Amino acid sequence: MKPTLVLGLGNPLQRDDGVGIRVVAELERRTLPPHVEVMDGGTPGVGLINLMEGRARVVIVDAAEMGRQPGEVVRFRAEDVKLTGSSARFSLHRSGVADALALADALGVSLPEIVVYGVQPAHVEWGESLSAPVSAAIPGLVDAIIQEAQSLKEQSDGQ
Amino acid sequence: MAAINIDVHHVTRVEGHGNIVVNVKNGALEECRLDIVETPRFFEAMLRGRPYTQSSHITSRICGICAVGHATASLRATENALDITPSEQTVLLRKLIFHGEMLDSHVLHVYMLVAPDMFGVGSVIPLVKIAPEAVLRALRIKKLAGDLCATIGGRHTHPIAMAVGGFTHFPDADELKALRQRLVDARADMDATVQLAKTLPWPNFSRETEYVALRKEDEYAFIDGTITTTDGASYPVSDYRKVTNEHLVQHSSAKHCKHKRESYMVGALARFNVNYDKLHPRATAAAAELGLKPICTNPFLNSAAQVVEMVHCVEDAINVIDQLVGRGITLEPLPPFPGKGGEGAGSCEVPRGILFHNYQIGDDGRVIGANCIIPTGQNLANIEADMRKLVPEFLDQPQDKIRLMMEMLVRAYDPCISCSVHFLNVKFV
Repeated sequence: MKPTLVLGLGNPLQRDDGVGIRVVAELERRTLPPHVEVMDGGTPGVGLINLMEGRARVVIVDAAEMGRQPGEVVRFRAEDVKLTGSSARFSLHRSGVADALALADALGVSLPEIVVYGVQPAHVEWGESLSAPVSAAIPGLVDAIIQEAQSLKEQSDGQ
Repeated sequence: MAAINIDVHHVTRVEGHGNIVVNVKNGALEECRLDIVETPRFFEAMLRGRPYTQSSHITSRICGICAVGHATASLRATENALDITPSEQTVLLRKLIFHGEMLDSHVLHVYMLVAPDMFGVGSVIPLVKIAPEAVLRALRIKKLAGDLCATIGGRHTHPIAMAVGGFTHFPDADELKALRQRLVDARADMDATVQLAKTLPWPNFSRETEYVALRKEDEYAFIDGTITTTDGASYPVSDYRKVTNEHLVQHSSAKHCKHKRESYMVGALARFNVNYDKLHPRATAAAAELGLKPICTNPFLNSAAQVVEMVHCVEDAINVIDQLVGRGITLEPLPPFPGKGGEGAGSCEVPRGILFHNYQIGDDGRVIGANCIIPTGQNLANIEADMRKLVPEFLDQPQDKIRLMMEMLVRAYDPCISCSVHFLNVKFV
């Protein structure tokens, strides 16, 4: 099992919600460092905990409602932000990431280091086309994730 | 008597969104309905014009939980349209991955969505404090189910190896044997699950209705079979419209279904009621332990029937692996396009009940028309009929209690509502 997992999440049938899956498809066409695995995770809900098991680092790419401009990309660590949607509204599909992390935390399950690339969506209704601003964000996002994966490797080499 | 108005927006812990509206005036029920978003209306639009080989991959994305179920119904519809008969090995591999998905879905529903109600806590997060070993068990079962699906389907969360007429990736004997051992080891977790279900305070309620499920003479049917009802009707899958009779109702944006009565029920309880005699002996024993007998008319016990099915799926998965290992895995090629289109329906029992896909394919191999009827859509009328009986029985209870009972009723059906947006809501702190 490769130590770094780049995990695209979302539903490509719900327009911008599928941005993580599009990024993964693009990454699969690129040359990646040998310690990096790329995975289309779909909408795993709490299954996210199982997908992350055994990894040292996980880079999640997902649509995120952040109150920003459509297409804006924000890199953050799970511990830096408040992920809403957990506990009071536990559902397997809505905010699957937040629920999975909250559950892992409650259970005391040790998680890998998690970095999230959130993309502000414009449209998340049923449909397959990405909105123009989200589509335009993909090339930069792909480059940033490749750099991220590379730097994570350097960090671990330096340890 | 004071008027009661209950308006539960976005019933929590159901798959997607649903609103319950109840109005009681002078002790009489004025209004009682469930608003729910149903199958994506663009189902046909997203398939029209696509090569037949893509349908299952696209439709498997409709639901994050029933990916294998949608893929299988889609493949069976396509194969029936093109007159392609899957090989014996393909049938076995599909059965095996289906058991994995059923286990995955049921364990989540029972442990993470239903059990918190029964323990009187708001969600699985506080449940961790009361019963941490139960939640860890649920994750362990889920991991086994997910690994089973990935081994057969070629990838976690999406069964990319499932194709028209066969598979594009095959497990080897060692992988199958390793899975078999884990399934055997999981019997202890199944026993513990039955014991947990036994201690849960299931609400006492019943209402007679018609139960609809696929049935086969030689097994507990999940894929293909005859549409069979507890009122004695049976139809081939190609006649599914004679059962579903989709119709518009004034108060809902979703179409309702009915057969001969005002409503019918699909799902684990319907399968249990129709196919009890086909359960594995260990599953029959689990049912006895839970006091569950056909015909059970308490919809809350749909979740208990799911527990019985979990036991069955583990046992049958072991049997199927033995058959696959015994005959040896052959790297079968996929059948070519027969050169002629056609029309066909496919059906399987996904975790939430009977699912139908129906396609017309042109002579160029492209989809011309498509239809899909999901289990939750078929259950809507039945849930409302249950609510109309349930509310008057609880009118002397506090409003919060009525609200909780209504939510629990809806959750018991494990509704899968178009699997709406799941993206993150983030507040920077």
